[in-house]
Amino acid sequence: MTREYDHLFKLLIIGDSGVGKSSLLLRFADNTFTGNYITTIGVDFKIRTLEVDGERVKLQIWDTAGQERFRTITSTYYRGTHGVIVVYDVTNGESFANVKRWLHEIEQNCEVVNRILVGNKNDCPDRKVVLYEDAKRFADQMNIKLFETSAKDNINVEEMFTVMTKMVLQTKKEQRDRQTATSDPVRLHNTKKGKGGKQKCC
Amino acid sequence: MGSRLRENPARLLECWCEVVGPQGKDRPPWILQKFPNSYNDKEILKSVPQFAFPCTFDRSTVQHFSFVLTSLDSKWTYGYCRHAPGQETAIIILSHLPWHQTFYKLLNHLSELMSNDLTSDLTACLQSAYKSPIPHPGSDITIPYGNNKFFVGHCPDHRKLPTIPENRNLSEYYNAVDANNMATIFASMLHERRIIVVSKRVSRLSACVQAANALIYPMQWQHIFIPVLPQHLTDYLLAPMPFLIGVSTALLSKVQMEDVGEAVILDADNNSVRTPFSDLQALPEEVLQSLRRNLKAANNTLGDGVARAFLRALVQLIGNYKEALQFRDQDKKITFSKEKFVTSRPAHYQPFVEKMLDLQIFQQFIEERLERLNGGRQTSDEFELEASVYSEKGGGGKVKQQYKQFVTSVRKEGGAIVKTMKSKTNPAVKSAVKTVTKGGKQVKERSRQTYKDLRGRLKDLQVPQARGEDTGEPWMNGEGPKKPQSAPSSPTHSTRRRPRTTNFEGPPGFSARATYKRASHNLRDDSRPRKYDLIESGNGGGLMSPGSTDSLSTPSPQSIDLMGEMEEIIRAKLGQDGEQDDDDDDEDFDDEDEDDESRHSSSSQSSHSSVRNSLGSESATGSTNTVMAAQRGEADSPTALQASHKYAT
Repeated sequence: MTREYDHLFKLLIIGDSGVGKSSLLLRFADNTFTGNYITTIGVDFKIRTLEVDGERVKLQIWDTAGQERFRTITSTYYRGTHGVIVVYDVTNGESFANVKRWLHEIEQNCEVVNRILVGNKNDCPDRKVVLYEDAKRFADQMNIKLFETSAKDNINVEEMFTVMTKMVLQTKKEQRDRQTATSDPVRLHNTKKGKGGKQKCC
Repeated sequence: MGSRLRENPARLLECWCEVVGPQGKDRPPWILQKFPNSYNDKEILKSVPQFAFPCTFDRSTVQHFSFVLTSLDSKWTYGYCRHAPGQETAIIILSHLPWHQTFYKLLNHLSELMSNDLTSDLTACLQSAYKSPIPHPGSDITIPYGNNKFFVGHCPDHRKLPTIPENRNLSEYYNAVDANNMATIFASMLHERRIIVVSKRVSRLSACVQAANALIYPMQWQHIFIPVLPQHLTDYLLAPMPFLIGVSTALLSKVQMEDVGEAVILDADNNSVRTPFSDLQALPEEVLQSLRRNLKAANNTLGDGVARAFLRALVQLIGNYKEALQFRDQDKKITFSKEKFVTSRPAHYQPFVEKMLDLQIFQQFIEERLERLNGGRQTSDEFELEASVYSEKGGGGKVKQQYKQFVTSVRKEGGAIVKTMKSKTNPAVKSAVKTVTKGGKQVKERSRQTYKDLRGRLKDLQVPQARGEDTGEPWMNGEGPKKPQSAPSSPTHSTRRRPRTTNFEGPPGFSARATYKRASHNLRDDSRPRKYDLIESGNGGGLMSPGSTDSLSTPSPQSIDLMGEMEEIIRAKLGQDGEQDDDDDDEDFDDEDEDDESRHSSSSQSSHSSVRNSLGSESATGSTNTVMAAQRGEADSPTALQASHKYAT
């Protein structure tokens, strides 16, 4: 049986509840009728298959409930993922403050993971409180990309996910290249039990 | 903060329902009836049928299991289920309380009423249970109904460690999984792995998952937690985040394991663990050795020995967290210093302890303790007690001992740290913490002085009631891992034992659906006792039609009628009680606690026990403990064994 994709990537979406994470996911997903389980088991995911640079990439984007109860989100949470989409609400300053704290934490614990910063609900200039300039300054400082989106009006959502996918794909290729470059010793090393998991992490 | 339990639940149970099992692929399970019918949480109602019938499993014996639903704020709702052989429906109680034994026993009782066609008793009992005040943890509960009938049960004391054999979850886990494998799962949880528990029996799945979580007390699992995974959610095993999920053997065999990736798999039927990690070996040698020693000790198999063995391991690892507390001047808050926490440990502990800082479960534990300290509350729970015992033995050094003295003096002298003092206490707490961490000799004296001052201030404030040290959160404190304590598993009944095993059995080709339909047509025109003991509409219960939870927004004409009518009747009947209930919700539970205590200690306690005695001898029918008892080969309850034989035939 041939697989219908070349790569499977698992991404996480984090941010306070109410910043529009699920709207972003719905906007992005192939099929909006897969049901919504975040209110019953505290976790949900959406799937989308897209083609980037001629390769078929299947993206799973995962979301969990009640993240705002964590003052910091620890590295074990990101361990198995290929990338993190960090979302705040441009009309809510507090959601931006939380995101800053979380990103600092990821920076400390999880250097390699792909990150992207998203200011959602960018569709009502009157209510905007987190200015693009401020967010951009912070994003530059963290060395990550910033997107201002509106899930409601479908602005910039597609672009954001495409860029994220390219980043993850790029990382994977770099890792593969590194592996083939150093070739045998690494492969031998990797076959040892218990080592693989940590490297996959972040 | 770290607790996944809802604080101050308003009532004993949220909802009771009867769910018809799936009949073929096209006929998914659906809710036949529920009580109270006003219960209208659409998301939960939509999920209940699928969680109550999560997969195909052997139903030749009575099975109890629990599922957990997680809401958006990450709090848990428990669904307690009872499946009986030969019956096409299961009964379920939804509650925010983690009292497995209590609700399993109540389900047995309700099942008995149903099978004896005692519909009015069923409704009365549900009504009474619904309105019942939440008992004080560790006390008995009596639910009176009908004509001088009672349900009597015991509510576990969450402030104590779970014991064997009283705690059914832990007992089942201990029966199924040996010490080394329990320790492996414990270690995997301390690495926040993706953990799958697999078994053919749903009752074992939920018990093992719940017990595994109880054994990381004082921490609590913060990630995905699904004790029994329903079939349609199999894809959630692909989640990249940490999880603890119970999956039936049949279901797991259909999953592409390469898509799941690296996971720890505990096969609870064969007592084996498959793990790509060396988590157990990563524990500090000393901790691992004493854990093994404590688990091996013969006298540990009963009582709280098993739970205590794991608690001690955690005390060795994190019991000294107080040494890392610091006072921050700018905002007058107590904070936690990661560096201090690591360096205060012996060198050979440090690599592991340092990694613990990256655990969400540890993070939430510290946050929770800090929140209490900064709120001017002292914590006294099983963990703190064990930590002070450990430090006395020399495990924690001098500082710990001084802290203990400090705590003792607080208890003796003050015991009166009240929320209103919050702002004023901080300077005092500051000096207390500083003193303790310095390890100065005058700790005791100073803290005494501090609390004398406090008392003085308290008097000024004219605080009416002085309360002792806090046992934790509102009332669920260390609830962290729920530690249900006991409840004799055999149901107690005031009615005759039912003469037959199955009530739903019919001639071959009997169609449950057709019969339910008939019953629902009858619903409106009479109150005659029905063949399938559906609860009556006027009493708050509600009959549903297949798929009616899905169509809540566009209900069928039939359900529109029913809902409207019933709601009105309920309002009329319950009107005042309902309002009172709502008022109660707002009350501080801490105050209720005291009321409960006095009530239980005086009049009702004695009457409860006499009722229990008088009923206890009468009956004991098929509870799932029968299965366990039979498995262990301990014929501790002749009636229970008899019951299990009955179901086997």
